[in-house]
Amino acid sequence: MRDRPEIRYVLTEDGVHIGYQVFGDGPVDLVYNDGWMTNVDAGWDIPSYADYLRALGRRARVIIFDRRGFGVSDRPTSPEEMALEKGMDDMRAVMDAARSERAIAFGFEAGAAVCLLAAASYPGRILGLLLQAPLVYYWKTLDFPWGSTEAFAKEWEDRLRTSYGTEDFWRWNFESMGYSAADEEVWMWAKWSRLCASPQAALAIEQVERQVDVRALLPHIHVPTTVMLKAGDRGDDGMWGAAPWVAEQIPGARYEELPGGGHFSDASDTAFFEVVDRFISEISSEQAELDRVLATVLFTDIVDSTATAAVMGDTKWRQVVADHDRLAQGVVGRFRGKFVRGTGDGMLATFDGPARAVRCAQAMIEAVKPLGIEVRAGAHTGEITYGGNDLAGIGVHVAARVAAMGSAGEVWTSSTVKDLTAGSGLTFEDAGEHELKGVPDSWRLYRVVTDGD
Amino acid sequence: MDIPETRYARSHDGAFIAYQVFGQGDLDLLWISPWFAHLEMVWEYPPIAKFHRAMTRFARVITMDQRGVGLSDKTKGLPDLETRMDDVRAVLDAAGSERTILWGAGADGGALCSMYAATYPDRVVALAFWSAAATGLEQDEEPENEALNAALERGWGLEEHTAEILRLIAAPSMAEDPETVRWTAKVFRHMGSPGDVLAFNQMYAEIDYRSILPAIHVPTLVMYRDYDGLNEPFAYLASHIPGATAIVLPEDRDFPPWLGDTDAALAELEGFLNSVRREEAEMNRVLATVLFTDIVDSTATAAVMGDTKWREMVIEHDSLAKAIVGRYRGEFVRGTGDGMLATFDGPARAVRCAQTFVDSAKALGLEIRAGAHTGEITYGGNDLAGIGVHVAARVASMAGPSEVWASSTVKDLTAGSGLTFEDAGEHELKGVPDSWHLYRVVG
Repeated sequence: MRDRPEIRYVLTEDGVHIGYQVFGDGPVDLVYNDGWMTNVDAGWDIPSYADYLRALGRRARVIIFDRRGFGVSDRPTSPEEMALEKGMDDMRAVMDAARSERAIAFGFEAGAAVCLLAAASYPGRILGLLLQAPLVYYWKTLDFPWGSTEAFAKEWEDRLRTSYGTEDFWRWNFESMGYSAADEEVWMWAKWSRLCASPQAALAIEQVERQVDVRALLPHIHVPTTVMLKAGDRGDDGMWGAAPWVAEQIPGARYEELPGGGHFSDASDTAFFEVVDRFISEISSEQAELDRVLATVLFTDIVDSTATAAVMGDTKWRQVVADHDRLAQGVVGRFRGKFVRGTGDGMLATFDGPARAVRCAQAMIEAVKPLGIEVRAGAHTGEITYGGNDLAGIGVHVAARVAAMGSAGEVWTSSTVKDLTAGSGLTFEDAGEHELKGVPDSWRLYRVVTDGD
Repeated sequence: MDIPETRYARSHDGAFIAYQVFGQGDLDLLWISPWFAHLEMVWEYPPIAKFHRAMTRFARVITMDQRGVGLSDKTKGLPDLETRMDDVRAVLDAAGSERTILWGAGADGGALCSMYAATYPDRVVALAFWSAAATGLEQDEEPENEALNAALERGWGLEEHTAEILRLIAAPSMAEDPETVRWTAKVFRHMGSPGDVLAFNQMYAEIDYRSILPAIHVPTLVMYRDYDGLNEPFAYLASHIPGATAIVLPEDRDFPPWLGDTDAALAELEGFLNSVRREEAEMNRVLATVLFTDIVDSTATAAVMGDTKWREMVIEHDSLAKAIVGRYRGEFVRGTGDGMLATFDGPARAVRCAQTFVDSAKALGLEIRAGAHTGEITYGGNDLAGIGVHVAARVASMAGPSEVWASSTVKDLTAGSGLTFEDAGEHELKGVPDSWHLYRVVG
């Protein structure tokens, strides 16, 4: 029985296979870039981590992946091949493969640096940054009082060299974080780490992290950002204390301190999930506005469709509707529109040029005549939202109502279409002021005058 | 004009397809001619050379030798229509022709044009057919085809049989001149071996693309010469391609357009291309919201800062602009040296972007002003054209420091978006007709 999301692979442009998973559901996508090392398969064997991932998956469509060198992905193993810039490429390849055009990037430790690189390099694809215990620079210096001391770095490297992947290593690691772990837990994490990275990979990523310096990027981040840190990590004497400073450096970023000790959040960390929830809800309401595009909506209707269907009989009528839809797709394509759907007795399409919508309507009227039907058409330009295979927005209703006003062979438009096509050579005739059912206000409508008129 | 250089395109399966490009023009025209297919030798025959040159009056012309013929790779067996369509695509890619007018002669050229247009409607500007039937062989043409087959078998490439073949493939006026007959025999030998040609004729007889015709949705010209009133096979195309225009030229027994009244044929083609050109210009117009921003007092600021510092500042400004435009899903068109130009497919986002940019630029120590207008524009290369672009630039120049101004079109189209506007009065905009009601964005 499969107790975890299916692993898929994507091949990056430079020929590395990256393993990833997509799970959960929510108003936005969230691509999770964990710190240090990962294994998207073995992570699910650790109950607390699996619960934590599932809790994320209840809030967003989550994408997780192993950066090159780790876990189930191909493992080119050297500091050069595991550089964070390459991790950023991996993340983009995974987003492409998961058909995630835009996602919140959630980064932990060095994963945060990868997210920051991504937000600076392709801001159009990053909806926002959620950073927890971000690693922006490794070393404690006079002007950067957080970070690691030489002594700590040396001890860490020595331990990696002599005992990486062993229970000894993990006993020491838990102790140094002030946490006493049961033998069972030590065994579990030791096994997990062996599945994440070979000793050489662990040494390589240590070299990479020591070279991290994304501080200069911070003022150039222009996506909504929230930086989180467990209260216990706060202060100048640890690796992660820079988080509040990071938030200050990023224009408009927010800093959220999560109560409690420890370094990690788990499924029971309600403060963490409150921050995540708030961020997701802010981003998704901003997205609702960003998803609105200006388009010219064209509706066409088969005139007297009920009567015609009755006369033709079901079989013939179904054939005519199928022919109509196929024809409509072709004509809409010719005028570079987007065929949204057939409506059963007409069609709905959008255009990025209002004049083309009108020309398309005129061509449709001519094109369907051989089918023994007549159509009328209506166009309106307004803000709409694409969702799945359909459209939403008041603009869609207006266009539908405008189409319903005309007679066979006529194209009607709102005054917006008329105004925006000035200079296109189209001629309009005033069709008067009208109330449109279910739409507020009264609307001035126009009939397009065809050349033959 | 010298004979154009022959180049080779690499088709999807690796085959080399020979092609030539000649002339210049804003429209690309691919001419597909069967029977007289040898890219280089055809230039030796004055009527063809003249015909080719004449087409450059109104287009950049592309010609190709079909796979298996002339200078292109010979492949085992006859290529199917789909393979040959891929070859066309490879040639057009190699010739840098993103959108093309296909102009095909005979049932074979017609089949190729139709298939291509139905498959890649986005890459076809228009279709023109020359004496194209939708089937290679009408039922009553069986005896004639038998005769042609026999003649090909007996005398393909041989001078003594070439006049007969010319008559059978509807180029009788070429059969009258011994010099032309001798030349034709040579071209035929270079075009393909007798076996190749017999196979080609067999394939020709089996052509039937009637079912594709209703799926063609590009402007189409169906042109043919009256043939004793027996025009049904050619007229079929006009009545089955939606919206096609038919042109019937006066009676002529010669099939190739470069024989007989070539000028009349080309005049019709040119007229058609002119109407296509007008339609194309309109097709490229899209509705977009154009945003211009300007650094306030840029000249004075540059003078105070000094050149080096100012240049760095402009670079930072541009990268900030790109990032913010990206966040609001706009398209950064270019930096203007002291500002930027971007387009958006949602007017509310253009305004929000301008607001964010005004705030973020302050952090760089820059004050900017912004103007937005929604109108029809044309993308060309890396820049924009259209009156809408000028309007947006003028609107931006009206705004005060840190202000975002918008035309009434933007205000009307963003109703319901939560943006608030303040009336900024009626203005004349330099170089733009009419007076414009402008608005200041206040929140």
